[in-house]
Amino acid sequence: MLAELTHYNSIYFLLLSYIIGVLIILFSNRVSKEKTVISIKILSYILLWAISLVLFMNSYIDKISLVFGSISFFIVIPVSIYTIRYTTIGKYPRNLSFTIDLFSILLITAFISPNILFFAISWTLAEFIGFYLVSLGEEHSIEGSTRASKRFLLMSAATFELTLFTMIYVSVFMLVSTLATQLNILDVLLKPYWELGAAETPLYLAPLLLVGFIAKAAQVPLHFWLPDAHSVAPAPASALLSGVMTAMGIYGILRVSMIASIGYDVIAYTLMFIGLISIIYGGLQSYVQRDGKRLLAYSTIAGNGFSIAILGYYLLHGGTEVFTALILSVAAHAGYKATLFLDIGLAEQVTGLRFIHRLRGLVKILPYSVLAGYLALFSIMGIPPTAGFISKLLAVFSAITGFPSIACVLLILSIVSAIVTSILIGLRYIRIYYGEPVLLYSNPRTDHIRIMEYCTLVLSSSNLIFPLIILLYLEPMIYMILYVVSIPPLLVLIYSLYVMAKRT
Amino acid sequence: MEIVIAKYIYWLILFMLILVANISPDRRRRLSRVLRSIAYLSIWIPLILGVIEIDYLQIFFIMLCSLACLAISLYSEGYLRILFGRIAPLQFIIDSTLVLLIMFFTAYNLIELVVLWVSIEILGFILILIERGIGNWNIATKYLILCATTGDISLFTWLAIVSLNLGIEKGLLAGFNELASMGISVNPFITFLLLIGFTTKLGQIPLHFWLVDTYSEAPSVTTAIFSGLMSKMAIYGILRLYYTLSLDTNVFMYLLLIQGLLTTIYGFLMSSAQTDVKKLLAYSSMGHYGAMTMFISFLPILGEVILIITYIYVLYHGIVKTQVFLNTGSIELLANTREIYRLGYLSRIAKETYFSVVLGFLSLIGIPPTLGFLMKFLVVAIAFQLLTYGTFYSLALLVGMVFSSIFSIVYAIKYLGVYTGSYAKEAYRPVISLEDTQLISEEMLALSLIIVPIIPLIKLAIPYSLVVAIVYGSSLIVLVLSLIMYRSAFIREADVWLGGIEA
Repeated sequence: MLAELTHYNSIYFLLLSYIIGVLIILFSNRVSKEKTVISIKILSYILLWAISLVLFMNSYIDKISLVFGSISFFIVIPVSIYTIRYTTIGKYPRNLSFTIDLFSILLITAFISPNILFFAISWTLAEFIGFYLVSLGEEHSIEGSTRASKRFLLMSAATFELTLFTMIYVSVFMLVSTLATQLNILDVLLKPYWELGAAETPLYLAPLLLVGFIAKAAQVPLHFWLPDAHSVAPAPASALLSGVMTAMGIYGILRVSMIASIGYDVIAYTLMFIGLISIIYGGLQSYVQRDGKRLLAYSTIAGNGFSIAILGYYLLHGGTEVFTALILSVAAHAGYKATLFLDIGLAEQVTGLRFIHRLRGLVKILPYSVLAGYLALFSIMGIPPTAGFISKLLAVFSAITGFPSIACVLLILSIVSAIVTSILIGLRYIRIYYGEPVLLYSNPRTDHIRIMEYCTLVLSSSNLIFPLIILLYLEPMIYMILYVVSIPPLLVLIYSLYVMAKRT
Repeated sequence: MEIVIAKYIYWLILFMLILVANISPDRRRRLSRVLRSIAYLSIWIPLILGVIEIDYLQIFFIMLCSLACLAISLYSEGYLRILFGRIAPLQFIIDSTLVLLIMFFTAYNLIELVVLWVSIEILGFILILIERGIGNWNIATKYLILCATTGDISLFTWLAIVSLNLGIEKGLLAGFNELASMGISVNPFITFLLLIGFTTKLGQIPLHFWLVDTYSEAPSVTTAIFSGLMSKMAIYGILRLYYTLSLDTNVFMYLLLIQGLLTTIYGFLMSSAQTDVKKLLAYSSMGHYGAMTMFISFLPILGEVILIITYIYVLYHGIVKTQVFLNTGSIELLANTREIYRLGYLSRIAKETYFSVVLGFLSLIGIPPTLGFLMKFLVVAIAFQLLTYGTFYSLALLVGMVFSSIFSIVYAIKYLGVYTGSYAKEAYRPVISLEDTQLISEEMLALSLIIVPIIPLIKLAIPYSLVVAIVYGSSLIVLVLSLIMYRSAFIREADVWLGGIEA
């Protein structure tokens, strides 16, 4: 009795402190002194992360939630600090910073919520905040229309709701039919995912279950909302939308696979096929874009395509290596895409341009941000020891394991096309650092943006830190050697790219 | 474990030497030069002391690396100083690539090999941009996409195969000898995947089209690194692959043989049709890569002998191509053009480079006592040995050999025409004098073409070495004598002498 009581007390205490942390973060935006705001934000985000760690240790949430949550925390903190200056320099509405914080907290809450109810609530709210952010960006932009935000709301939010309600329906239906008792619906929704058990689900529900997440990850038939939405949103919002929010597609399908048992063969092959098409389509589209943000938006489609292809393979074969590859591909994508969105946002604020065929010579204006950009681009191109390299390595490893099969061939094709398109995209993007600077504004205010550059740099370090943490957990020795061997070449590479950029 | 740590300490020392040498290479030229030379020659010390774990596959590559790296580093110093006035940031990029190459050939497990391979590939991308910057972007992109993608596929597949059989940690950290003793067998499709990256790096048909663009548009120092050293990484990769896994013999043989034969014919044919000095050499490199690939394809039937020949080929081609590509750099600096038909007077303004380039091309044609002759001799010997295993192999090798030797003569004459082809007495533009380091590096490579063959001959490690030794000795005497005669008894006309009729 007593044990049960303390059990409940501890969870309420944790929830309470979580809410307090959230409130502190939200109200820190009212403080006028910038340094105070930054320290409050860092401290309270770390507090929230610690709470999620405690929740995991007491097995209130499972490993998937913790991993996705931690990735989001790492990305959200620099983005949130970046927004403070971004708002004042870009003359955005005062509440942008507040909204970004709210958005990120809702995203994190969705990831670390152990049951469908919390997930549904926080996610639905996040969708609407996302809609607000996209429309805010649109109003601020030159075009001034609301087409992108409407599309975002229609495609992303509506399909997502559909899937969510199907999930709820499936789980409730399952529990009611198997237990043959009267159950309170709220009871079902409050049960953690792993206690629900996989319900026998007819195949015709599969499209409904998946459509929301496929639209969320912007895979090919349902991708068209993404380039508009991500390119008009303010840069920090794009970073969150692209890095954290699209990861929900993968997270969601993983969750669906926990609570519904359908014929996963069909679904897996469909997912791998969709992933392959998305990689090729997104990669090629991205290569021909001129707008830097659109380029990144299309490459989000390609990057998620790679994760979705691995996910399909995971549903078919399972295994730790495949799962690690999946998580690392999501982490890598989150890390480098958020970095690059912040990078291009900064470039836009300083030079007034974000067209990559005009933008040149950033290394002379934004040295630290360019450093961050290099690290992110190394991750895209798959240079050791970044997250991108290890995810591709593990993906090949998993593909060879399943040889010979159609799935293996599909995965190898996806990997090849991912490598080719990502190198293409990386090389196209990297050109903005070279050449003579192009400025629309007569005197760029480079002294006020140093802190934003540092945020980008911290964010880009995720490309080295994520794989380090995940692989130290799995394979300490091998990773130590990999790190020791590849750090000097990495430094040489960064140095020489830097020198080359400064010379030209 | 101790040996791994010792190796890492050695790598660290190498890096430190290069770093210190490049702190102020423009003000303390001599110090920088000495430190760099020590760095590149220092590889012999741990080898002799036995601190670094290597096997017989690596020794020849390390030998080549040590020599060629020294020459390239010395040459690039002068090259960059003439072009940019100072060498400070760019020399470091070149030096660190060279050090990474040495590290690559001393790597003794898979994870080191893969990491260094990928890093060197990206550094190659930067090296292409080193002179013209963004102007070379498209070429660099093409190189990176083709080489990096296929290379990644092969290397990742290799890693995956090994870690499937041994577990990921043991598989990637195990030394190559341990892997070889496992005898992991591989099916045909995977064999294909494993080889494709290396043959692309060697510019084999059908993925050859990046090679000529890259080689001809990149700065000469870069091309020397590409042709002399980076292509040898692929050869080393194939050899290592063959000895660590038991590949599917049919795919291995026929893929390499067919690709090699086609590339040999295509490369040598095209090389003699070029009018651009660098394109000519690029196609010639391609042809030689084809020949090397063809040799390696006989590895399953002839074994050890082929291995020895491949080593000598690697040494020969590495030294010769480093030298002649560095020489194209000199041509560009001296004449500001690479068109053969707009040159022809260089022997009058650059006597020192003329001497070394003649030795280089004697070697490419295969005249004794150069390394090229040794190579040619061995090819013929092997072609006859192959007759017992089937006429097809022998025929393929002979066809390749015939193309190689005939068109080598054609393009060698064409290339030497750059120096002697016209009767113009002086340059069409004011001549910049080359730096001493450039001349020294070219001469060093040229002389090593004559000296290096002694090493295998002393050990009698090659087939028919006694015959070769006799030929080598007598022709060395002839060479020296003719040099002396050229110095003393050569008649120099006072005026231009046309048509054989003196006016």
